[in-house]
Amino acid sequence: MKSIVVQNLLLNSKVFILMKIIYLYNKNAYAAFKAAYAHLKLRTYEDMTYIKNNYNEEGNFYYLGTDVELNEVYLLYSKKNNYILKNLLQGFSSLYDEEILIMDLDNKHGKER
Amino acid sequence: MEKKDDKIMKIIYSCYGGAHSSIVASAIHLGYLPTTRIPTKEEILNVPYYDQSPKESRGVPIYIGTDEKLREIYALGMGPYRNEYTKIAYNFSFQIGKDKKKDIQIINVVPLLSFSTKVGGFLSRRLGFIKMGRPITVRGIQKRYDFFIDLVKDVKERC
Repeated sequence: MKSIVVQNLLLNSKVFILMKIIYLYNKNAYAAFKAAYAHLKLRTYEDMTYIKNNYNEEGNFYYLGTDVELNEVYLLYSKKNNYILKNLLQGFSSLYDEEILIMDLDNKHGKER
Repeated sequence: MEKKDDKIMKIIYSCYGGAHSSIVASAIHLGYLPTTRIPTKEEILNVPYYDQSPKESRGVPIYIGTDEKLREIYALGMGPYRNEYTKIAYNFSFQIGKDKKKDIQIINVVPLLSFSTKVGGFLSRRLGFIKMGRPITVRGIQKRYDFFIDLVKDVKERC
């Protein structure tokens, strides 16, 4: 009986790899905002002025919340959004043995497809 | 009782390409290059990663070694947006390192670059003229070597 209970627990349990998900943007603040809030399944503000005034400071990570898998979701605005910044984020996360996922909302390759 | 490995200092020497000045500063810090005289051309060229980093690896911290006080030493190229990325790097480190009490210091080595090192680095890394560019970078490093020594000494005292 005990072994059946333990088996069920193991089958139902999920292993969460906690990571930080960063929505990176340069021009398309609104898209990043929408995407991040959609990820978190939250209602979004429709006022662009609020976004422009509050999410345009470079270098500051804006914590938006934690998703259902306990991953932390951030917004990051950068004037110079390119491969160096992504390498930097990946490199520094590996220094601290942390997992991150970078969602580049201004990825030009996406437009070429 | 606080564990010793709760606070591991990371010292990151940063420059433009992560191929010359940051590598040399890291090497001096770890004792791969001398601090009492100017090294020879061969000694500089034998430093690991010297004039090796490709453009695509900018932004990636290169682990060079651990010093006598167990501080981890890295070299990093940040390209032309060093000021912005330094700020982002600090903010990011504070975000992800908050529970682990780790320290990080990013040291800007770009002011120590001589014109020769810039030209040689451009020829070697950007244009691929390694045989022409690499010796020029070495001469540039040797010209400013005293400043590198002073910088590393200062970093070791402060950090």
